[in-house]
Amino acid sequence: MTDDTEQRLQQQFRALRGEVGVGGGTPRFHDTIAGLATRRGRAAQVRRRSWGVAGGIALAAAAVALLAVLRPAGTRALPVSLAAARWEAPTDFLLRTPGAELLRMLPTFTTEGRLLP
Amino acid sequence: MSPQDLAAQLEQLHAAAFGWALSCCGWDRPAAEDVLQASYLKMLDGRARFDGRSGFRTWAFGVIRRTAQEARRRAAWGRWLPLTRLLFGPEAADGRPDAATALAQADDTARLVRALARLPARQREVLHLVFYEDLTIAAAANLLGIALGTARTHYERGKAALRRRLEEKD
Repeated sequence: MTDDTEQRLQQQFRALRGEVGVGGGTPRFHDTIAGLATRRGRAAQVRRRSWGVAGGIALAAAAVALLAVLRPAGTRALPVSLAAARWEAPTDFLLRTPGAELLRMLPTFTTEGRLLP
Repeated sequence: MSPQDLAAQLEQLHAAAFGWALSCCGWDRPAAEDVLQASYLKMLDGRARFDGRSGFRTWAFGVIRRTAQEARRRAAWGRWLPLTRLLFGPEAADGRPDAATALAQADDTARLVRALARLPARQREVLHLVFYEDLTIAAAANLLGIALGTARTHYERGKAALRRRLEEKD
């Protein structure tokens, strides 16, 4: 880049600096400092609001968690152990035959040869 | 450094600091004033501490640059999340006059501000520090936390781009 470009840019930036500096372009230092107290108050307000919002969210989350824990027992689903459950088909009675219990017991006879009940 | 010494140093640096704040805020004057005040508050309240590892100017300019970035981020969030507007207050970003015409009355300087606004941020920052703040490229690199070679590249490319933009017809 030529020195000519640099010189031209330097002149233009100098003119810009002059325009910012004159005619009340730059705010007075003491005015800037004087506004700090207001700004501190505003920052404290923002902090308070942030804590308020965070607290509200935390409260809502706690309420949801509490509701989940304290839900009435009747509405909760009971755990079912599949290993312990025995299922019977509604048509099982058709397979029951009269005298079927005789097949699962030992007959007892008297000395006279009578079958005991 | 005592608060009185700090305030005295800031007062000496005030005009240059305002120029830097303007550059960091895209020559938006109200935004620059706001950022400058927020930066002073950070420094005077001890949330940003000067530990003497760099020059005072480098440190102060760094604080201003970070504060401007935070303000931009907050404004961007505010556009998307109405909750942040409720917390931080309304952003007065819309309906402002064109930065260049509000600040610079002369045609040449208005054109310069508009051309600078169209440059990538790094190039704009390096050019501002070198030409407006009269820093060396090495000092600008130190302030921006980048390598000297990188700063030189931004300087050369920025200068070329700025010259092209200034030669364009409006």
